Amino acid sequence: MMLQSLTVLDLTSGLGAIAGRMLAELGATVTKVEAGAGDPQRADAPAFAAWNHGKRSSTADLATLVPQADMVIRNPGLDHAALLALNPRLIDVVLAPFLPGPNRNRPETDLTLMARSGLMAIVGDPDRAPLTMPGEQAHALGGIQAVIAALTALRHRRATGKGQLVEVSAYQAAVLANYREPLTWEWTGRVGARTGNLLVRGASGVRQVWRCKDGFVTWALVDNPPMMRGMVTVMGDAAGPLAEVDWNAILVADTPRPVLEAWEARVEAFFLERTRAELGELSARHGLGLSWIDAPADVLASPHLAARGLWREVDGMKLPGRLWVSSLDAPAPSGHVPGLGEEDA
Amino acid sequence: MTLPLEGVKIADFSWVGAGPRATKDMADFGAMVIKIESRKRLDLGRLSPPFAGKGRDPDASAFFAITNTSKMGVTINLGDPRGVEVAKKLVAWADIVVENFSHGYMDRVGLSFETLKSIKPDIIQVSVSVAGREGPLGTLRGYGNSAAALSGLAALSGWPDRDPHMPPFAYGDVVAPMFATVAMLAALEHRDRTGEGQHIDISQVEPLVHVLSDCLAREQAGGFAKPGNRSPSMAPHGAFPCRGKDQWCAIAVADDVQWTMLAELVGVGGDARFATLSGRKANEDALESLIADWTDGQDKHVLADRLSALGIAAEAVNDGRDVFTDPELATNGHYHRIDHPKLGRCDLPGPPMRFSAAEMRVENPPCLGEHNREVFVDLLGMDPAEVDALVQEGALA
Repeated sequence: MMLQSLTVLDLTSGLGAIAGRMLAELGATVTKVEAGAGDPQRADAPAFAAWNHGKRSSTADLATLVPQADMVIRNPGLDHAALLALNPRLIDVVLAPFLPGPNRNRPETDLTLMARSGLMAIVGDPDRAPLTMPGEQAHALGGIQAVIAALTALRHRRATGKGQLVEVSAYQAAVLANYREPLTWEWTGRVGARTGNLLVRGASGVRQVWRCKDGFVTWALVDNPPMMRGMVTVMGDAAGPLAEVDWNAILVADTPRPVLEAWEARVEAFFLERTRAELGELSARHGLGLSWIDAPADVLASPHLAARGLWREVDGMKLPGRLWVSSLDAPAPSGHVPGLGEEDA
Repeated sequence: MTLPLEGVKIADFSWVGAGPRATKDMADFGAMVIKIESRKRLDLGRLSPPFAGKGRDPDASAFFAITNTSKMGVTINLGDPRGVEVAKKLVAWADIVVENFSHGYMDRVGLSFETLKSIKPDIIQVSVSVAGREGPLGTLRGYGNSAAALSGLAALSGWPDRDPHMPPFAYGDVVAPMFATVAMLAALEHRDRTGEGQHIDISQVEPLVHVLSDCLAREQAGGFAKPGNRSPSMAPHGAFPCRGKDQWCAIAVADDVQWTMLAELVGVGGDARFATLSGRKANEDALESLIADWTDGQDKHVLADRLSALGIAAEAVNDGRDVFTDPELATNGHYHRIDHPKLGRCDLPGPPMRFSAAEMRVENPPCLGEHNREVFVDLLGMDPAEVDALVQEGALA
C-alpha cells in the first residue's frame, strides 16, 4: 500500500471527512478521534458510512495519540502550538470554510459555500432559482485539497525533518472548481447565467439531454462535421432535413434556435425509439459523441466500474473504494465502518 | 522558506484540463514541471477563450494561463521518431510522467509504460482518461459530458420534477486532476520508501463517483430522489430571490433555534406549522414561499451579512464578478499577480491553502516552446546546432 507507514488522526466531522477516507484507501492508518457520543455525523448512517469506511475509531486522549501520529486532519478549534508541543514532527492540517481572517467565524454550510463560490449561479434552469450540485461538493473539494496539503507537507518533511501547520479553505477550493466565471469577468466583463440543458457556445444554443426508450442520453449538435455526418448516416431516412445540411459550410453554434429546434425534433424522435445501450453502441461504432446517462442504480450496476474494482462491500452496501487502478497490485483495505471507540479495547 | 516540492521533476505530456490542472498544483508547490507540447497539435487549452488582446494568440489564452502556471514549456513533435527520442531523454530525467492522450497513443508513438520503465526503472506514470484505460469502456473516447453522464452526476443534478441536468462546466476535469495530484504525491512517497515506480490509471468518472459517495449510500439505504436545493436535515435550505435581475441569497437553517430567529424577522414567529424540522419539511413549499416574499427586494449581500451575524448560514449567490472581487479572496491571497509578455499584468489563482513553514508560487505559464533552449541544451546537454536543426525540420516543433 502506498501510504502504509503513515499514521493519521482524523478529528473532522462532515467537512473534511473525505480526506481521511482517501488516505485510508491509500493504506494509511487513519483513526477517527471521537469524544463523548462521537462524531455527530454518526446520526446520519449512510453518509457516515460513505465518508468513514476503512478508518478506525478511538476515544483516547489526544495527549496519548498525537506523539505517535504523522498528521492530524481537523477543523478549527484546537491550539496548534499545543499539538506541536506534543510532537514537533506533526503535520497539522486544518480545513475550514475560510482561511483565518475576517470571515473565520462566519457560519457556513455546503449550500452557502456553493452559493458564494459562484457555482450555483450557473447550475440549474433559467426560469427557476439557482441550484446547488448533488451531495456536498464544496465540502468534498475542500477535503481533497486537504489530502493534497497533507501529502505536500509530508514530502516537505522528508527534506526538513519538521512538521508544520497547513490551513485549507473549502471556499477557495470551490472557487477553483468554478474555473470559468471569475476568469470570464476578469477578461471580458461578462457574467454567465443559467442556460438549463442548453449548451451555449455561440449566438445560439443546442440541446444536451434527451429522453430515449429506457432513460436518457447526452448528445448535441456541434461544430464537428464528421460527428454530424455520422449521426445523419445512422439516422437514415429519419434524418429528414438534417441530410441536406452541409456541415462544413455552417456554424451550428450560430444557427438560429428555431432551425435547430426543427433538426432536434428529428433527433428526438430517433432517440425515443432506441435504448441507451443501442445508442451507446451506435456512438462507439460511428463516433457520434453520445453518452448514455447513468442513474445511481445504473452506476452501482456498471460492469465497467465493477471490472475496475471500484466498489467495496461495506455493511451490505457498495461504496466507492479504490481511487484509481495501479500497475502495483495492492490488497484492498478493510471495508469496515468503525464503531465508536472500537480501537480502545 | 522553501517550496515544499522542490527537487521533484515532472515530464508533463498532458493537455487541455484533466492533466494540466494536476501538474499546475505540483508546479505551484515547487516541482519542476516541463510541459511538452507541439505546434503540430496545439494544446486545445491554448485555443480556449478568453484571450488577452484581439485574435486568438495561443500564448494569450487566459484559460490556458490559469491551468499552466509555474511550468516550463518545450515543443516536441511526438509524430516524429526524432522527437520521441528527445522525449525519452526527458523521461530519463523525470520522476513522474503525466499524460491524458487518447487510448493507445503513448504506445503507438513508442512511449508505453514498459518503455518508460526500461528508460527509468522507478518511473511513476500518471494517466488520466474519461473512463480509465482498464475495463470494458477503456477505449471510450471522451466528450465534455461523458464523465457527468457515466458517474450519476447528471442524473442527480437538476430539479426533482425535471430531466437530468448537465452542470455547465466540466466537473470531471476538476476532480480527476485533484486525484491525479494525490496520486503523484502518494506514488512519490511509495517510491521513496520501496524504490518502486508504478503506472496509475485515473478515470474521470470514478473521482465523481467518489464525491457522490453519500448519495450512493442513501440510494442503497432506501432510495435517493434528487433533492434540488433541499436537505433532509435542514429547512429552509435553498436560494431565495433578492433585489435585481436574477439575484438570490442562499439560506440554510441548521436547527430550531436558528429558525426561531429567522421566523421573527420574516414575521411568521407564531406559525406552529414551522416550529420543528419535521413540520418545516412537511410544509416546505409554504415555508419557502413565505421566505421568498420576505427576501424579495432585499440586497443579497446585505441580507447574507445580516443573517450571518445572527449565526444563520447565508451567502449571496455570487456571479463571476462577485467572486473575482470578493474581499475574502484578496485578504487571503487567492490571486497572485503575474506580468506576462502576452497577458500583461493579471491575477491568477493559486492553491487554496497556506503552509506555516513553506512557500508556494504562481509564476508565468510558458509561451509555446519558451524553454526549448534551456531544457534541450542546458538541461539535457544536447548540441545547440542539433537542436536548431531538429527545430527547423519539425521534430522539435
